[in-house]
Amino acid sequence: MLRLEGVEVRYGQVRALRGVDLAVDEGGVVGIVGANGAGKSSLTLAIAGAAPVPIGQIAFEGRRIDGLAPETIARLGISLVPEGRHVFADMTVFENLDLGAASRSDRAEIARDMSRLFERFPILAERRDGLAGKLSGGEQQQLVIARALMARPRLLILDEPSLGLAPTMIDRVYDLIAEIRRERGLTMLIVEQNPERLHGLADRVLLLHTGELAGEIDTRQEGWDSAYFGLEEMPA
Amino acid sequence: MGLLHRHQTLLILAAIVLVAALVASVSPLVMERIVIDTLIKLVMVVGLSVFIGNSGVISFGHTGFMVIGAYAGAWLSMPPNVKQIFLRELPDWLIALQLPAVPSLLGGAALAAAVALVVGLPLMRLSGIAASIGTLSFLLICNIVYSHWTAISNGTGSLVGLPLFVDIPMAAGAALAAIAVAWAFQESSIGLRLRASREDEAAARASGIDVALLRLAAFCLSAAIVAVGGALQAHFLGTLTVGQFFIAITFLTLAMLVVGGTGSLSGAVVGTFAVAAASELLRLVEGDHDIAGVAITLPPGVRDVGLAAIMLAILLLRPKGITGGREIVLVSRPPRRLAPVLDMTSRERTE
Amino acid sequence: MTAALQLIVDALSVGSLYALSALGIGLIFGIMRLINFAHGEFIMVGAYAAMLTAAIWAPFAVIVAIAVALAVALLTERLAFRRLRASPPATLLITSFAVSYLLQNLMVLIEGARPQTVDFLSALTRSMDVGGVRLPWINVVTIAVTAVLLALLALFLRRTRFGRMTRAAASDFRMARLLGVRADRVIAIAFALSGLLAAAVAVLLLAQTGTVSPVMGLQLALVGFVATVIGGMGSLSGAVLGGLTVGVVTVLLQSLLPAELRPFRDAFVYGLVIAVLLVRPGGLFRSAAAMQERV
Repeated sequence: MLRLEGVEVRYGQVRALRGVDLAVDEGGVVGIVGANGAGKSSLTLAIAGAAPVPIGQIAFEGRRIDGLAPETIARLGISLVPEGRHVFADMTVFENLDLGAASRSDRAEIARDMSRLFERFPILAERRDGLAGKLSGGEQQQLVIARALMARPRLLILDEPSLGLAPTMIDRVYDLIAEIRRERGLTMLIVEQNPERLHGLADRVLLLHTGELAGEIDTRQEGWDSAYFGLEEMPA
Repeated sequence: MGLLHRHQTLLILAAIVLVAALVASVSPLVMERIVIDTLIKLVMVVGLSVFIGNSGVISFGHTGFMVIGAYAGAWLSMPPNVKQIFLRELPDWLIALQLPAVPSLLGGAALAAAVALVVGLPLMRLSGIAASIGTLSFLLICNIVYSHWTAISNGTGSLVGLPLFVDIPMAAGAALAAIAVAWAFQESSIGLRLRASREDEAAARASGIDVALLRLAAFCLSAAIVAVGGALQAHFLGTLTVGQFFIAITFLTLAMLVVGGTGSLSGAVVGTFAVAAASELLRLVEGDHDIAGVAITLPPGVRDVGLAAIMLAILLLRPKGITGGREIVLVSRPPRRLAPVLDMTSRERTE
Repeated sequence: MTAALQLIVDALSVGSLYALSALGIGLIFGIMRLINFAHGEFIMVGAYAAMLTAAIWAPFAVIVAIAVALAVALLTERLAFRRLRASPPATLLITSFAVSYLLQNLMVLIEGARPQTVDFLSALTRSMDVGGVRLPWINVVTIAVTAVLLALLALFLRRTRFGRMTRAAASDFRMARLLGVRADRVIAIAFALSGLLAAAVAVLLLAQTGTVSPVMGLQLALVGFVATVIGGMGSLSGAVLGGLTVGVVTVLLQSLLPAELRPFRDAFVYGLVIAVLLVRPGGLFRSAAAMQERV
């Protein structure tokens, strides 16, 4: 469904990604783990069209998408929930969700999707007319996931959904992700720092290390955490 | 790697100025005046590029330093009896003082640098667009103060009777000096570190570079050079009004810099000559013409429209200007690393 | 008491024009990080259009002013700014300066550099008497028109999908695009709104002064920048509040400054801008620092 071949991303002279080959099959869930600065966000932004891809190819459902505008890629069925959530803070929860459907025009269906999501995310229903900026971090994370679902994506990309959340909230968010996965069979690409989160959720988990994919890792392995962090030199 | 090799750009730019001066000295008076005027603009644009080129921050405020330099130069150079008519309210010692050309110009530069220091201390802490708006506010404040504070400027009325000391040697000398100073700054460690911050401000800050301080140094130096340009302009025309140094000259000098390329000193020089030439050609087009028996009158304004169109075309088609932001060289230099410090932080910035 | 009322109406009326200018500039800044110098020229061409058609029928002149300002706004976007959308803010800034200079001098070519006067809605400059207070009709009309326009705009931005997309793009352009909001369309909407607001300012200003000149827009564009800075760049309500504030401060300074300092009034206003930039880079009305430029 999604295929990356030799993808490279640069910011000025800095290479953030090099030679990345990756395939996500329809209905599958692929996890990417890596430390800070490994290039995880560059990868998600490149797929979504928000980071330039000077070298390599990205194809979605057989169609080449690198070089397309972010809005065009969104309209093809890829939804990215970027790192740092990016709610529209001065807008209400309802308005944020409605914007999630910016690529659609079927008003009745949009309304139906929204009420369905309000059932799935009761806290959002409660705060429907409150400003998104006033929500807690966990509530905002639920909001952006719900907002991404409003587009009825065929591929959902989640970039560090656990970032900056309390442990109990992280569990709650991942339970939600797992439920959505079960209900819809949605294809997902999830980027995380902590591979244990992806255990039982992802079919495969790949390690991204200093801009390159360094192979598959086993999330069941005990104590892999320290081993994994041992790979990274701390930035000077 | 010889000294000659390293500083070849400086020599090439100096040669361009000298050729222009030589051509002017054997040309009719009209041409001579055009070249002098262009050399004065060159001083202004080189001064502007010391700040904009090295820091990457667009400044609209430098025209304010032209005003400051021009009036300070006039206070120093004008004969006491003329000052008694137009600038009666100046302090007595200043009215009595009359300096020769070069000290007058330098006096203007010194005042501008001092003002730049005071204004720059807060302004240089700003970045990007905020800094640009700050400098624009500074220009407006200068304009208002000099327009209404009659004691120092004769208000919106004009000052006349400035000594006409600007000839070809003076203009060319000033242009050469400006280029040399700008080159020395650009090659200095301050200049190099400032250019590193232009490429990536966050990384430069993260690696301990005090960007605000470096910018302040560039701001003061460029203010001094631009002020000399303003003083030269006033003493070339012999009259001085506040309105001479406002939006039109801000546009013209920025256009020269942008057309040549903001990234390099060569850009400032090339852009000044290119835009001056285009401007003169457009001026020739203005007025009455007889084309194949049909009388055509092109009204004034054609020149400014043409210049704006040229500048827009460059921005759209070649945003780095004619020189592409590079220096002119005969023998290529190995690419110089702007700042090794950038690599240290690159890891953190990849995401 | 009457003096105070007069002062308030004065301040509100000046502030209204500034608020409309600031909003036009703030809308585009929020989305594109473009400080639009040319906004002053949108106002200027609108005023010339109204001036040239004023003799026919005033309402017709208003419509022509709107059409012309709108067309010029959309054209500059299409021909200049669209191609530079991905450029650094400094390039956009210089470009808008060049566009502004181009439009100004095109008008010099067409209509000459000298200011021109026209009899346009001059009946409005008469005053009405409210309990001993003499209020010029034009001030009251300016305030009313501004209030109606702001209400309509708020309605558009809050209640319609395009309006929401515009707001979303103004607060986080990249995120809006990631959700499928079309950049071209949203930017065109912003320029159209900006042109509309410029036309309103043009018409009100022409009714107030009866004068047009090619450089008339500069002052308003500058005040617009000032107001967007004070209001917090990228915030639409901040821009409106900023415009009102500048108007009120200007009128207050005019009446409070000692006579010998009065000519320097605007210098104080611009000094205030520098102070706000330094002390409250996110604007007077917001706590969050919003000066971060888009990566």
